[in-house]
Amino acid sequence: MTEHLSPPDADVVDLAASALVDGWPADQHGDNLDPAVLEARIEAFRAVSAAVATDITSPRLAVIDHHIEVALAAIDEAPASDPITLESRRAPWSSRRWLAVAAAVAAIALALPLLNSLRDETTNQQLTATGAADTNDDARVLAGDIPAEAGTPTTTSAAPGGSPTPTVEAASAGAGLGDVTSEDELASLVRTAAPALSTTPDPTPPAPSLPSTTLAGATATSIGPATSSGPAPTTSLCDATVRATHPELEPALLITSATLRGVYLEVLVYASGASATSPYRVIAVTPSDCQIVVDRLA
Amino acid sequence: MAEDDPIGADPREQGLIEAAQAGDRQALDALLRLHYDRVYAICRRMTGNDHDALDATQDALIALTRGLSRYDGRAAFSTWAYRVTTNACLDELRRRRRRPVPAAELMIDASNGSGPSLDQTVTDRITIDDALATLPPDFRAPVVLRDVLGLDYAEIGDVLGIPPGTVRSRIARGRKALAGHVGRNQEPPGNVETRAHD
Repeated sequence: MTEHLSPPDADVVDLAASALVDGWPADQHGDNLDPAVLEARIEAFRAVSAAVATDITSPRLAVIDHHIEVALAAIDEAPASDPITLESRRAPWSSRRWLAVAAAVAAIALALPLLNSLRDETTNQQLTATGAADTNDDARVLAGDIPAEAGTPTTTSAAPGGSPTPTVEAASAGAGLGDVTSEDELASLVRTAAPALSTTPDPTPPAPSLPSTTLAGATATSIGPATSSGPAPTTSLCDATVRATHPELEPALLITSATLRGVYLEVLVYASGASATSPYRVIAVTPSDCQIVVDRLA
Repeated sequence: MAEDDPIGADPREQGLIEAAQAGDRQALDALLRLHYDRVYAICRRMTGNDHDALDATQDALIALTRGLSRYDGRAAFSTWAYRVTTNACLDELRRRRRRPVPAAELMIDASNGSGPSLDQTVTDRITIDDALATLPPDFRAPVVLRDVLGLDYAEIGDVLGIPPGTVRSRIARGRKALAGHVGRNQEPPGNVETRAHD
């Protein structure tokens, strides 16, 4: 690699000679310069200029054709990340502003259920202190999260680590539905567990802050055996994505996970709103891109 | 190379620009061909060898194509095109810094029988390429734009985004440095007493 050293400073002779080579008048100092020195410098700079300007042979026509062909093709395959293309493709500012507003509204919509669930957690902890029962435990026992003989307070359960924790918190740390081999099995698991979830959490007169969709949109629940697939997701960006493409859906009743034939999936359970015998709509998506893999009633 | 500047002044070219911006691929093809030699000349002198010049030329053409919709006609098309080209060359130089330099780039078109002998041409090209390679790119660019394309100081300033006075100074300093390489058999420019800065 050639070392680039900063060129030497130019003195008045250099500036005057260079300007004269370019057809510009020398500045006011030019009149005081030694004509012989100036003439020699002009000669040297003319030689440089001529060398730089030496004819450059253009590539062969075939090369030019290829270059232009590639450039023309680049119009069609402009990458989205290309700043020039991106800018040219951007919507007007007013449209971008609406998009920003829409994104903010979506973020708030996603955050509200989380806040609700946190409020529910506080309420549940208060209920635990007063010894209130939790009918959800039946489902949790059925699913294996809580040993039937554990005799723990109804609003606590064993987290995968084994230590008792409040119900909602334990649900958030659950391991998902586990391994399933078919969509039917997945639906069956959901059908078994979801009714209990929908009646969560509390036998006391329901307060406005304790809706039946306690877990919706923000926390996952553990309604299946622990699996190697890891813990169920605690939040789901896919919920919003799915509901954006299926506007008929209400917020998810349950967000959990399952491994279907070896593929780890996020499982979103919605109210079907269509059938009393199939009250749930189970949508399983790939977590990375929210692509719907399963969509069926349960 | 050229004192004439057809860019921006030629009604035919203006028509090509407008048609190309409207999506006419034939017009875009013609527009690129119209400027190809100059684009390549900038790249050839900026990069110092044929291989890198071809790569930089390709990148410049792609950038021109993709950015054409952004050209709003406030500046001469040539100013915009040369700026895009110069940036493509600078990018190529940055990339080259991260890879080995070819031992020699002597892809002279031997079929060109006119002009100086092949030996002399090779010698001249090696000399000027080596000399230009010693200049930092921000000094090389104004020299190339001036001597290869014949742009004046104001135009070069527009292309490079620097004041004309800085252009003048950089060209003078660049030539002074080059004179030591090109005119080794000549008396190098004398020592300076009064300095001029950018």
